[in-house]
Amino acid sequence: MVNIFISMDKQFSLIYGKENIFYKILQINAQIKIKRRLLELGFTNNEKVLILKKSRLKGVFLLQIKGYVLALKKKEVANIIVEV
Amino acid sequence: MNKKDNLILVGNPNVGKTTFFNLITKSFEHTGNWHGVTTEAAQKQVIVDGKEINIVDLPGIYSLSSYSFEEQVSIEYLVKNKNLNILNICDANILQRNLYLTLQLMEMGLMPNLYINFYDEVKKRGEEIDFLLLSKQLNVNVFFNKKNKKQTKEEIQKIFNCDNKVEGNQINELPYLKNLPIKEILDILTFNQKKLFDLPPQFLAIKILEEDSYIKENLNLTTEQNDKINNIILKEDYLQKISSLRYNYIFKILKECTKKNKNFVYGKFKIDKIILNKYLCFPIFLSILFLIFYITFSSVGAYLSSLLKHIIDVSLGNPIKSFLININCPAWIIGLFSVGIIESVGGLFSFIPQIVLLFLFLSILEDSGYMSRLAFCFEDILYSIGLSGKSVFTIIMSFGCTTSAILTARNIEDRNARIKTAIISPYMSCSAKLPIFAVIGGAFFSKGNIFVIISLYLLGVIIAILVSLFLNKFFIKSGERSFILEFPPYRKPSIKRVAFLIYQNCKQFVLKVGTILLSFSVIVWILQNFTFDFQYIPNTINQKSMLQVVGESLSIIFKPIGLDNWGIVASLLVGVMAKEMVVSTMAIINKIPTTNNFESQLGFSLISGSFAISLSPLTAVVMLIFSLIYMPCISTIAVLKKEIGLKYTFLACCLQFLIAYCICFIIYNIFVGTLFFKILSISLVVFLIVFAMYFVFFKKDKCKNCVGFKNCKSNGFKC
Repeated sequence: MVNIFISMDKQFSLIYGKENIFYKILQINAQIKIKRRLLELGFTNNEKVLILKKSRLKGVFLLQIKGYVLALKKKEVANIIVEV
Repeated sequence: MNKKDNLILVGNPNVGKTTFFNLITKSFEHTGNWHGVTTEAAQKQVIVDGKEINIVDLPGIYSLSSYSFEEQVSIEYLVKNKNLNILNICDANILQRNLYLTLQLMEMGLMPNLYINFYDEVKKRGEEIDFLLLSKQLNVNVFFNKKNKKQTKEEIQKIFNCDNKVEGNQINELPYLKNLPIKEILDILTFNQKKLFDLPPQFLAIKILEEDSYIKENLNLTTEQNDKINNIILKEDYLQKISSLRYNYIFKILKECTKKNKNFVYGKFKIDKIILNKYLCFPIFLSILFLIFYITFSSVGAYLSSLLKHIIDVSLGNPIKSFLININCPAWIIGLFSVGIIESVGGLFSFIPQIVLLFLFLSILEDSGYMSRLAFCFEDILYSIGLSGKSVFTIIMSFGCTTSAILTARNIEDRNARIKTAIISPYMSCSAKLPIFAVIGGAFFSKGNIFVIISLYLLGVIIAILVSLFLNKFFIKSGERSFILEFPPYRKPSIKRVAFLIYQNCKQFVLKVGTILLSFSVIVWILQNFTFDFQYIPNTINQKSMLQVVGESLSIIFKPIGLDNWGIVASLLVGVMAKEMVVSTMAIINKIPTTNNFESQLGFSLISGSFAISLSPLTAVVMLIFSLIYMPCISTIAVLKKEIGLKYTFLACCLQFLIAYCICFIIYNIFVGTLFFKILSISLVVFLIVFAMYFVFFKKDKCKNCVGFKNCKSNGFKC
């Protein structure tokens, strides 16, 4: 039981992630349109994602996924639930 | 249409579809190393082995679910023309994501041929792709680009000659589909519904599972059917499952077919650490922009311009004039040629070097891959004024030509941001306004003119920002919106492409000068030199020419801003046709004699006061600012109308005129106006400041968690 709770706590939105750390995607909580687009871009479950950079006002995130680099807005990144 | 006579190019953004299109059709559609350069389907016929083949270049798409405008264009085109030959162009660097679209095409029952682009880049890194195996696994023909152009062309020849190996329904052969409840969905649909668009029913089933609204609407499902479908859909997260299945399938295939360097990340470069640095990104951008403008407008460009002007005068202007005098032409013909044509139009030709340089730099910027980085740097700031990071493309292109720049606004996902971007782009000083700055600014500020020009550019940008904020507040609000931007790698600009872009723009410019501007020059000259009774009046002061009558009657409007000179009013009026005409009209009105120093002659005539148009330093400044923003040219208005509709075009034009008028009114009247006007203009400034302050201090505080300005207490998911 304890273990499960700890692992639950480890789930968080990617916006709280730190730069230059790999995270594993658990799920995407978003409207159907945005969710579909994110999945098409490669944000499927169990995929590893790396935050390369947050922009100056932290409004845009530069992510590395499936071997390429992609910039997304905070609003979309917030929908991506990850664990370390 | 015969299947073999057509070829449709489909692919992810920035995989080189248009470059491929240009290579085979020998045309020069606009390309660039960033996303969404192509915005409309382009078509062209080529003849291969005696057969005429129609090639269609579609805008880049990530998938077959409509998301942005350009994707919709592509999808509708594919649904309508699904029987034609399709070439799916992939980037070898990111094959995994590119094949995702390929799979969707195959689900749709299309049989695409694959063309793997940038294989040379992959090979350089020591990676390899087994094309034969890939072709076998996916059951499609695979082609790839070779080291040199000639071999690549031979490879392309093969595409035209090959048959699609597999006939029949390919959809059954995609193994991952077995894990989906496709049959159950199909059982719910009626026979007629299954025949929608003549697409394979399996595809419809997948789309229903993915909850695609476009397909669902067209199916006209009954409530009963809807309930049944919802029962199936709600069992599992099929959207996520389907894309996982597709990606896993691709991963499995690629694992067998490719030897990949795992550390390589497409579009990740060390230099980005500096370019995207919080503190360095803007200084770097500004210094690049300053360098471009300095080379173009001040040092190299200005020198080449004067050189060309000299050559035109010596080799063309003077001989023609002396020839006309020698054969005893009537005075008005000599006047028409020397002033109406050679001086005004010839004067414009001398701006060719500057245009060449400007487009050279713009195309290098576009090709290098820097534009996407810029969009990343600017997204935060542009978002806060109601635009999108991608607006930066349009804004920079606007410095070249506003008309073509407005078209690039289409790759902005949000409609409102797109409209705002289109409306503010005329405030950027386009290359056609340069002659005005060069002549008037050059006359009054001589060596300091570079700073005057830079400050005019800056003024344009500042006004654009304010206008955008204003529009965002009152007319076209933008809510939350998405922003997806892929980073392309840095690439060397192709010399050939840059050369052709310059050639094309020069050709356009020369054509414009040679046709529209030439005829307008002649018309203006006639209006200026003839009365309404068609009497030739070259130098008399007693009679008024047609242009003078019109100009004088309108000058009352411009009196409050100091431009009550009828000649200026007339040239501004003509300038709406094309901004280049402002200067040439001035030359015609002031009757500048043929000399080898047109620009400084015209400039001098403006200062001297004894000519029809004369300016004081103050009115010169007013004139510069007014001509910077008073109205977009007629071709820009046409494009605006097409892109954003009549209502917003009208709004844009009115706003521009109003702003230009207000600024000029304030500047002019603070210095020389009567007491009443002084008070009026000062109170106008005060009013504007109070108005602005009101919004700074009394703005409603919204939750800005999503934008990232403040820390927000609510959690990240719901906000």
